[in-house]
Amino acid sequence: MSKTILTVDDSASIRQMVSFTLKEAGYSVTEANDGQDGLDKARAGRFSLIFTDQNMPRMDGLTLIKQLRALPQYAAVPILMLTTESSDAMKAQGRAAGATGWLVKPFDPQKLLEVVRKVIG
Amino acid sequence: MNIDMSRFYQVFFDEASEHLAAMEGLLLDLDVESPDLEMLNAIFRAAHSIKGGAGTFGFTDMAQMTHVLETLLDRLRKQEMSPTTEMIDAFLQAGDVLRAQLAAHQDGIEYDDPRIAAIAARLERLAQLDADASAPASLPSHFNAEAAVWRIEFCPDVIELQSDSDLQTLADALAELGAFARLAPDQPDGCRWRLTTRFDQAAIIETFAFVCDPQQIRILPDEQTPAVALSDSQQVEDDAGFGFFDGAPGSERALAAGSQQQEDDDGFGFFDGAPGSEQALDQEHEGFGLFGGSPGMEQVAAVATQDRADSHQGYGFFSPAPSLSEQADDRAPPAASGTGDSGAPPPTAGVQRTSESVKRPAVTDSSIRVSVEKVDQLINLVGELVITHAMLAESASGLDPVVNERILSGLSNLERNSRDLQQAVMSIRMLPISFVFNRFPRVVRDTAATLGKKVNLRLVGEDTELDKGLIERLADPLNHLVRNSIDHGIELPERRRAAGKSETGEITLRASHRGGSVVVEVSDDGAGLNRDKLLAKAAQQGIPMPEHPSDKEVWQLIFAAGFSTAEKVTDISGRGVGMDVVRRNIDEMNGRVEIDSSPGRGTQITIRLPLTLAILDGLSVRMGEEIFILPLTAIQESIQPRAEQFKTVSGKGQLAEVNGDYLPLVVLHDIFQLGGERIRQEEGILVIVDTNEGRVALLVDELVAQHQVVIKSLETNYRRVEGISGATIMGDGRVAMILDVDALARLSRK
Repeated sequence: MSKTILTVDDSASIRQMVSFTLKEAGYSVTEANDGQDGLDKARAGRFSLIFTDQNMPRMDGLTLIKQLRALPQYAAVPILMLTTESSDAMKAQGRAAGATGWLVKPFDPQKLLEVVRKVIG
Repeated sequence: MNIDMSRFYQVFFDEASEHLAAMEGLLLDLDVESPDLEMLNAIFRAAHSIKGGAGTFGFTDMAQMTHVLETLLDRLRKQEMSPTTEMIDAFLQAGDVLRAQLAAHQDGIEYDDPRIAAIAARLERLAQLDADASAPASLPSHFNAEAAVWRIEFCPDVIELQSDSDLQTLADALAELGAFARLAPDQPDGCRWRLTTRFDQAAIIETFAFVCDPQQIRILPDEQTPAVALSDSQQVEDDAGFGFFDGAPGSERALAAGSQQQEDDDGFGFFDGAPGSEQALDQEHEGFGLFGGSPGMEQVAAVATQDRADSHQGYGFFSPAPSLSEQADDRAPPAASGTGDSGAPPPTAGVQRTSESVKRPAVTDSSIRVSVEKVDQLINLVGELVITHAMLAESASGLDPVVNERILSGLSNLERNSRDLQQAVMSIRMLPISFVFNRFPRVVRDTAATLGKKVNLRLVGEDTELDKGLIERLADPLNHLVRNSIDHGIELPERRRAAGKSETGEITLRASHRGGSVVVEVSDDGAGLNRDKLLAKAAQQGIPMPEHPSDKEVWQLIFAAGFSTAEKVTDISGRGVGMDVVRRNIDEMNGRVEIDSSPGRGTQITIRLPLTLAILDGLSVRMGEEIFILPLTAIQESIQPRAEQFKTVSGKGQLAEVNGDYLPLVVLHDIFQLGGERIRQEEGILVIVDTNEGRVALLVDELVAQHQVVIKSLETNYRRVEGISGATIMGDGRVAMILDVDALARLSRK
């Protein structure tokens, strides 16, 4: 059984890195290139875990998280923010938006897998 | 698992250069007087994305540069400062450095330049300019040398906070004082927070005083926890991965168990607390964290439970426990793609949704990067296919349409499909011309600044698509033309004012599709070309000119080698190399250049290019036994001549009179010394073509048909032949030469 993970990031290189790492580890991955795209893809599919960048064109990560939490099917799905800022203010905003956790950028593939395995096994 | 990060480098390089280009474009467009917030945000995002990628892929020099860039941009987009021209200059310089660093990394070397430090320092100074003013004035008064831990308890309902956002504002304000954490999820009937800060109690009370009556808040020193993490960076770095919040359910057990399990598990052993404790607890690890009580934590807790059930066998794939699949059914059933490594049977809960998972969205990205060679190979193969079809059609043309109806209709389908295929494949190589246009805002800005001129650049039709190969080759000629326009075309502000024009000159770059070709125009509203000056210069350099040259002939002079009317050679242009190179470059692309100019009103240079170098829209013409191809773009008209239209001028060869104009007559029979019988001139057809030497009349025996032909290089397959630009294979298998009308006009002159 492979779990499907949605990774939302406007940076193609980060997206590919995340996607490649997770696919190598046996997960299915869908990529979205901004918040709006992420929301559309999330609506159309079912994901066990969502990673989202914060700074993106069209719709930022926090807005995406809020919108996802408003959807019944994503009310309790783990959503993690990928963020370059790990300040408490950022974390507080993430928590308020409904994020499950955060992962500081830059991160390496091992760290990413560690987090994913912790969150969805 | 070891992942070779270098496999993502190319994507990062491409992406970073796109971001740099976008950033530069936005910076140049930004109006310093009234900055557009959306633009500032977009610039910030570009810098931010580069920083993220550079950090991830280990290009620390770029990450550092973007970091200082981002710091200042962040203050601008938050409107803490307003942009200045100096900032824009510094940003542009930083962009140049980043580009150089990127190029160096692409070559696998490190870029070293003293400018880097200077620019970083400049940006930092700009970002600090008014930082002193914005620092909180109250800072020293409530400040302790030692950080203390405070427990804050209150009931949001009682203090009448309006909404969750008020609560959040409060939490944010506290977070600014130090390390803030929730001890439990916020409830309407009670919030329990913890703050580790060097500010004293009064500062905390003051923060609350903004939103509610501080009397309702209990602020107690929290003696159970020693003050550890003060700032966020410390929290991440010093506290190698752990953050337990005292007082949270089960945290004591988790703490004890966690430290014990740390050894087994390299730092991740929080899960020995009571089942579900993970759900409520904040977890701080090195580089990431999870919010206790947030949505999604049930899932984390379930994994942790499962993890325990698997008796700490490290990380791996876990066969779904019943509880887990139930939960998954409630929220996020995994897509049943079955590529997992676990070999576990699919969860029964997933079955009822199979129909849904079938129409899963596309898993792949919306674009892929392919090497140009592969695309070229495709184009070549499609070209062969088109030729093969033409041959088949030729062989089948003698078949009886009634008897062979099915073969013939199959052939016509094949024709349609191969044409569609050809177009689709060609479109892969097509790029919007904005790829070249986008560099010009910077070129114009810098050139105009050097010359002390005011110039506005207008880009029109940037979406016009053109073959990638042509786009790359168009960059240099356009660069020359634009610099020339600024240097020689646009006048100095005072001259413009005196001439009753706006001080700011305008240069327009316009691209459009016209017929089968792409037209690129560079026009300015400057002084225009000076006919007398050009003629005088021509006389001085001994360039032969007709007695009463047309404007067009005079304007063409600027393309002559070594021709410059500039009184003073400048850095920008005026050495007389350039325009002839421009013309040669364009000729090599099978394109043509035209100039139009009116004194005082400006100059317009029009470049006409074929859409692609791989196929050509041509007219096949017959000359005796031979078939030649004339590029359609060169043809103006064709006429059936009368005998009196042909004139012979002694010593100058033959002319053809067409609509009152006398055009040089080019007889292909003579130029290529074709054998065979010659027809009388008035029995042939005159094709009037436009060349760099002016209009020319070509005499051919017969017009055959219009074709789209696949261009084969004669040079690579045979050798260069003057008057011929290439060859193609016709439907009957014969090779037909593609005529180079410019060369023919030159040949006929000799």
